[in-house]
Amino acid sequence: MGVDSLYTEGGRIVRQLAGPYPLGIPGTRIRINNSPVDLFRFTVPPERGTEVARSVIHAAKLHMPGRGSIFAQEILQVGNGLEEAERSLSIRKEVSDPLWQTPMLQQLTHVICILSGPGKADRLAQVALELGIGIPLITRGRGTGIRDRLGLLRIAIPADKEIVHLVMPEHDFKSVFRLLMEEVGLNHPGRGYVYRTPVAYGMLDTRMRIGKQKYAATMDQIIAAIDQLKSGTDWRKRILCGLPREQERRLTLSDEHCQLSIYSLERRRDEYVQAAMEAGASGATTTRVTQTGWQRDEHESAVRSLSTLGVPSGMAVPIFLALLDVADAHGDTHDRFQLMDSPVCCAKGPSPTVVPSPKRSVD
Amino acid sequence: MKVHPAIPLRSVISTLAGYARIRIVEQAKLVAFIVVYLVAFQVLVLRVPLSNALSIGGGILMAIMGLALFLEGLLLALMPLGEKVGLKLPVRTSIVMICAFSLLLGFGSTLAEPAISALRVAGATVTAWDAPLLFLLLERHTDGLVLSIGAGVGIAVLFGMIRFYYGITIRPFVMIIIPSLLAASVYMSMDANLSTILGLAWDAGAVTTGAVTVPLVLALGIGVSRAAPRGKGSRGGFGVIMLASAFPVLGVLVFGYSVRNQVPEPVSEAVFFSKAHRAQSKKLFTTEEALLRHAFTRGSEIGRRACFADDAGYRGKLKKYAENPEAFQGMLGDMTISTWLARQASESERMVITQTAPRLAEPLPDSQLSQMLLREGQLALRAVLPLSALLLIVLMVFLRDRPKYLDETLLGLAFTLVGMTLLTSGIHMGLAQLGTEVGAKLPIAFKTDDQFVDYVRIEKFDPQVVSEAIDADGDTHSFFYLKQGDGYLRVDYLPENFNLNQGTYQHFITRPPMFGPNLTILGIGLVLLFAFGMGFGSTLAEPALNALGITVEEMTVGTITRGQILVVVSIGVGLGLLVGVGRIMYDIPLVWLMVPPYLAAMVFTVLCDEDFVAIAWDCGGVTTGPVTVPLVLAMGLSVGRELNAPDGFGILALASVFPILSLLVYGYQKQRQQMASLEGVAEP
Repeated sequence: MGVDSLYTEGGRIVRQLAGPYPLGIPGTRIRINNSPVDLFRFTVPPERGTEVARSVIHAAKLHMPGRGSIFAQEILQVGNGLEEAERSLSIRKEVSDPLWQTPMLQQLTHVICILSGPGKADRLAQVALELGIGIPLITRGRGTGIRDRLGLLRIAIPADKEIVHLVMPEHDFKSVFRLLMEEVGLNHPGRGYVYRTPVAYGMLDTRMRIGKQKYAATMDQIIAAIDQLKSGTDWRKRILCGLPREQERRLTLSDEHCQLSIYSLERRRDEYVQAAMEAGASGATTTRVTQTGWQRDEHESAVRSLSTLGVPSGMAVPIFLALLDVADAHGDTHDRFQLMDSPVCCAKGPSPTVVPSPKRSVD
Repeated sequence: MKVHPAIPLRSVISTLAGYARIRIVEQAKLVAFIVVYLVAFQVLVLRVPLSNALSIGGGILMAIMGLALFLEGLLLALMPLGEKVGLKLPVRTSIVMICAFSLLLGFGSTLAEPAISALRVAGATVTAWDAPLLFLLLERHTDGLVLSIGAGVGIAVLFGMIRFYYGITIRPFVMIIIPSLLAASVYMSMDANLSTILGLAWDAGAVTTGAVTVPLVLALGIGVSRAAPRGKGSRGGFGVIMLASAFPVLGVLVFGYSVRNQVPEPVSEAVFFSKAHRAQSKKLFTTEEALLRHAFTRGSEIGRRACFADDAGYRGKLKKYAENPEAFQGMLGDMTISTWLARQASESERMVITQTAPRLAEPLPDSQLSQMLLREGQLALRAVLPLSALLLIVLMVFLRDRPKYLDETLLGLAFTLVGMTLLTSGIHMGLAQLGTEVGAKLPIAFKTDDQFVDYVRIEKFDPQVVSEAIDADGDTHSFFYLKQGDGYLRVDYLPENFNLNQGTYQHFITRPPMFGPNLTILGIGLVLLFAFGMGFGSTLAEPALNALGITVEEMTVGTITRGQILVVVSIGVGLGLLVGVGRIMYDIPLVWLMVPPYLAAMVFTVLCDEDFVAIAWDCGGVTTGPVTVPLVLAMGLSVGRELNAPDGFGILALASVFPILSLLVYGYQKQRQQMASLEGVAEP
């Protein structure tokens, strides 16, 4: 399609695997199944987002449950060569294909849970699957922040983070969030934090269970079909039962944060993060992504660092400027900076004024 | 930068306590299996009481602490350092520099972590007449052997880095190197002399990649792979360990081939020690004394007799030794007289020596804790310091960079050093001792005749104490009672053990076979079961494998967990040991056992996913480390000695190939499951 840069991150998705018990014991045994997946990120101009998304759905057959998900988010992006990137985009439309007309799901939200230490994500993923929220995608990263200010004591605090990505209906978010907090104990300090970013539209994989299938259609297939028929997920709004209204009211969500992402060469990562922290950011989570696409510098490695920072809205601009200063010092760089509105919802948390969004990213 | 937050002391202590607890408990769990297994085997199956329980317990505690510290040190200092150097090398230097550095690192790591001591232990029963070439390499050309192994590792690291730099897949390397090695082995197995070094060569490949080298090379590879323009990106980094296990095999084979003309052909023991053959035999020994020592410490009575012109000369020499035990001990060298009596001496020789020789005080084993710590500490220093110094110098001088946190790196290095010292000392004091104890007693499980244990010489024996008994057929049997401590032991009286002139009686204490004279199948089964369990348990605790497992889990984002790697690899090592011990027991040529699993592994190499292939082949080289090697060798040698196996080689090599195969099979299985679950996806 001529997308300028495609950033790939390795991860795994967790599904339930239904199968028989060993030794012929009757019943269905539900286990957790991990499959390796790739998470692709790229940006396209907002007005062309839908057609790009449709053509990806068409090419990767994403309308079939189990093949993967796609969603788009509005972002503000700064970097070299972006105008050129816009011109290079060419999409072959196959409008005759009925798939091209499939409506996309609206009112979704991307929930990101950053958990301390490896192994913690599995519990959260299991809860998410049991609640039928969606298919959790788990990636890994390293945290920087408080840990680096502790001196040698930092060795006692794991820098490895597990990041759980969940895309779910927006209206479900509050209730699900509450349940997740309780189940995984995120309301205790040091366990991690949760935030969400708004999703413009998308098409989600609903195949939460694989393996033995009893009926003509699985629950996931039925849900996917109704989602498509109703062009949305409103119909499956969860009704909160058992949660005292008192607690519900205490759940505060701050709209005062935004998410800042830096795609940079690995060796410049520390420099950027350092600059951001000096300008007021509290910490960053870095993951490793591989860059492909025609904008990649052939003399450099394909590996890039993606540093994600949650910053209070008021600080977004100074931090952004500090990052641009560092980039300027390196001259012609292909490093990129993205800013996304990100209402935070948890104990520890970061956020900005609503930023105009000339770009749209499709994850 | 924000100010260092003031942290209350109590929080600091509780944070550190939690940090230490997690790591120690983790290692304790991994070591628990092998400890419980060995103790249970000894006490419940072999029914031998546990001696030295206190020192063994202390050793095990030390090993656990050592493992925790060592692994943490690797993760804090050596691995980040290796990765950082790997990340900077392709950016700041050229491929030529990377090659030079890799060669140096590979070669240096072999000198720093000498595997040669383990190889010499495995070759402790090698005899100069059965395997002259092997003997020459192990005893005379030790330096040449070390250099050829080092060159192999150096070339391997070099090829590995070139592979990462240019993003070449592992498959062609596997498909070219392994068949070449197998073909060379098959060719050499047809020559009587060359075939003897095959076990040494393959074992050398297995042991060279030590606990410090593996994580270091792994991290370096990951760095280069990420930073090189054509590297494989975030999933590369595996595959060097496999090369570092294969090239030393080649090195040893080539070296052995080049010196093959310096040795005589294998001959029988009697011929080897005969005067007529002396000129040939002297090619392997510097002095007559060394030759005689070899006859005594590794040969049988036939060989020793052959050393002398006639029988009288031999008897006279033996008598002289019996009267002068110090001289005898001096001639035996490292072997004690009682060990010689138990292992090498024939019945008649035993009679001569025990009749007159006053008991020599056994030299106490060097078990002083402080001395051992000092010795192991020096070895650890040698293994860790030069390599980390090389990395630090390259990073700071040539690449003009520094570790992100120098304090963390230094602390990590200290952890690695202390950890390695505690680990190896603990292994010697605890696990290896336990393993040796069980291993030494293991042969009674399949032995068919009585085993000599010790002897008692009764001075002033009065034949009056001998009583007679009669059996149902009317045959009479003589016996007497021997007072031992508070109890009385009934002893069968054998007239040939009574020396009328001196008035002494020699009572030989023997242990009857465990399952009676004929029931050896059960005994063999028991030994094989033991071998499997020991391989499984000791591999679980192997620190380099742990480090590899952590890396794999990180690189695959938890799709393959450390636990899965540990279990699958440990099962592979268990199987490898089972086959290895089987080989010793039935004297099967090593080639027959090496070729089929390697061929199978190559088939799976084609079928499996590229990333997984590299991981699987790496695991083969990682499995034999500081925990496994002493335990495995102890067992292999005691079984081999009992069966008069020519050497204890091959076990480690088999313990390397089977984990590769087990992991590849596991990966293939997982891959198929994955495909099957995707195939279940239907059009809605």
